Amino acid sequence: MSRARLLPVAAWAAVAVAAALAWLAAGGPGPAGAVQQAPAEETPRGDRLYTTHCARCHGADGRGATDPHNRAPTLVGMEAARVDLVLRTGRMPPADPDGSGRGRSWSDRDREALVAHMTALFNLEGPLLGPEPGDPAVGREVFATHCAACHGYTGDGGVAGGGAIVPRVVGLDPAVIAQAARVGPFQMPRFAEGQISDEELGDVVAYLDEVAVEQATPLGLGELNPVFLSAFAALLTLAMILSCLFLAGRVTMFPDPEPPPDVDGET
Amino acid sequence: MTPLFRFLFDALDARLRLRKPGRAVVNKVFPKHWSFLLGEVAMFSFAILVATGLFLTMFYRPSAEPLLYTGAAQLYEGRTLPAAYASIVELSHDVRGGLLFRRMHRGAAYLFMFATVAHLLRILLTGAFRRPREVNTHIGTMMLILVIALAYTGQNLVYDLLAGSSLRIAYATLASVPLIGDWLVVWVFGGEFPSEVVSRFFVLHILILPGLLTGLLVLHLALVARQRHTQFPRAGVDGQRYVVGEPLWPSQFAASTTLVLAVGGLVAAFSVLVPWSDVDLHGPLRLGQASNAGHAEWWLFWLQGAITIFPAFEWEVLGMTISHMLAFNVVLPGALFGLLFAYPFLERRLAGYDPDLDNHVCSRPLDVPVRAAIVLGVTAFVGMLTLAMTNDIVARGLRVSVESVMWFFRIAVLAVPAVVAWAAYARSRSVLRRRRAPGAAAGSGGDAPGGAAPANPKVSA
Repeated sequence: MSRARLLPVAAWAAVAVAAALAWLAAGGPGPAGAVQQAPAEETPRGDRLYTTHCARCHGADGRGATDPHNRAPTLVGMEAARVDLVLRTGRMPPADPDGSGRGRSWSDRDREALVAHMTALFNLEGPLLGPEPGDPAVGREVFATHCAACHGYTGDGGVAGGGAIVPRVVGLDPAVIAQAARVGPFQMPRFAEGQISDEELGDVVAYLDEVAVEQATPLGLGELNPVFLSAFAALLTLAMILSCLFLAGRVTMFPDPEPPPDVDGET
Repeated sequence: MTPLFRFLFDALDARLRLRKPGRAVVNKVFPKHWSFLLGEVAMFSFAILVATGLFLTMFYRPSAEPLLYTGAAQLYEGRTLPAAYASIVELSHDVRGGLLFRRMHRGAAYLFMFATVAHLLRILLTGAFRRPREVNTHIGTMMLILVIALAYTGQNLVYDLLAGSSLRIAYATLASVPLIGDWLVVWVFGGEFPSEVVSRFFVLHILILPGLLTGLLVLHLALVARQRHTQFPRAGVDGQRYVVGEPLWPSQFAASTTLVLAVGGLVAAFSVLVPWSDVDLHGPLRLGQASNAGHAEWWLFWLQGAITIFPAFEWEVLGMTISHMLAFNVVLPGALFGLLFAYPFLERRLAGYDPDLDNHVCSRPLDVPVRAAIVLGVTAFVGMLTLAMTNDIVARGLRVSVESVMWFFRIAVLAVPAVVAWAAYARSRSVLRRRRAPGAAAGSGGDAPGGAAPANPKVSA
């Protein structure tokens, strides 16, 4: 092969390698839009929201308070995903003074402005996650292995070890599910990429989407926890007792000792 | 009678001599009371269970071998599942009518369990267990044990995530028995846990237990026919000597036929509306997977409730381990069923009956103070343990800590039955006092058999 004919091939190969390297640098294979770097931008809107809702406990410098009664942690260097998650689930600002309860529900625009503002101000770290739904069948297995022990096999929440009340995870934004798994908020453990890959997070999201729309009967019921199920069993037995009362003629719990109008029948 | 029926009956009668025994059967007297239908509800539920069970058996695979599932269920398409669970998924998604049959099987099982317990409570509260019916009471109690065993084996044949939790608890329960625990485990579970258990439970569930239950049912009904039905006391009726009620044909036959249709219709209607046997989201049993939503089935809540609210313990006594598992899952149900078997004799001792007297008249629930206190107290105890199982749901719903709900139930499980028993005793005493007061209506004392004068001329033995 002549050198003149080899040159274009080598050039195209170089382009291909460069493109592959660029693609790997951008995050490699994975669900499209799974990872986006948190935008950092100080804005008047973000500043106003932070001052109004956050600064009272976390301080204007974001370092939390020195007052021992104030448990607000420092925000400097915190994961952006954690801040985003806490805002998305309405945990901050707290409804109750002791930091519990669900407070405000933020609009997307406010939340994004606030996170961007805080990222710029306090050097929040790491990306914001927003996985695309994947394969629900894989998601079910991942969920059963890693999540069901605390969140219930239908994602309905419940009570975990130490009496921790675990929230329902059906019908949440994909970003909430992915970020919660990576950040491990409150008592929840953190799941590294070696345990649940980014792709599997998308699968879990798809599975929970499936659970959310599941309607097994005309009443719109999905799969039932045995406790709720027992209520329907009780309803069935109640209907059965009513049938018996109806069939026995008189709806009285026990016959009174008065003689009936006529006594019939014999052996 | 239609001509065709008459022709068939005459032809059979000429060969089998049916007329005389047939007359005795169709004239059998059934006293009319709603609570006397509870046993029939149980029987008809059993019939539905047999019918739907036959259908389900044709598609079920009693094995835990891995199997590639290919079918309409999107969550499992192209995945390897334990064969038992795969056949459940097939029944739910690929077999026409399979899901309805599965739900009806479960609905009928729930009704069966309930009706059996309600029937038992009726027998206990009305004193229908007294001499000469102690034998039939014991047969009935054995049938309840079989019903529980059937429900337990059936629930685990599904081989889903819940079955995993339930089998682990059964394993721990058996292993907790001192001295023979290890042998019990091997005897029930075979070798490897839990894959061996499917084929064993399958044989128990479709053959041995239903066979035993059918045998006892035949005996139960034969004894009811032999010993005639009890009835509630009525003024002017000597219930000790004859039964007042309606004959089998046509009145009771019509009532029972209606009841069959009601049971079938209600079970079918509820099965269309309530997904109580859907297990798509549970997933198959895999060791190492468990879920905190894995409550027991509702009829076992009382046992799991006791485990849940009372603290765990383990004592070493004489080289044996006495654990809370043993106390609440072996000793507690053992004591309850022991009490059930002993009760007819216990009450005779406590209430001081004449041991040689036959009783054919029911008492009303509050007629005997000791009985009202014991039966209602124990029922309240089991009921409170059952409610205690909902502690996590209550804690979430009321937004209080699980700990405080647990303490509430610890106290309530002991206090409520005591209060119920005391209230039943006091109320029963005051009812009896009022009835014995001069001027009160006579002839209603169920615990004083033969009290009323036989004023009715229609007397037969």
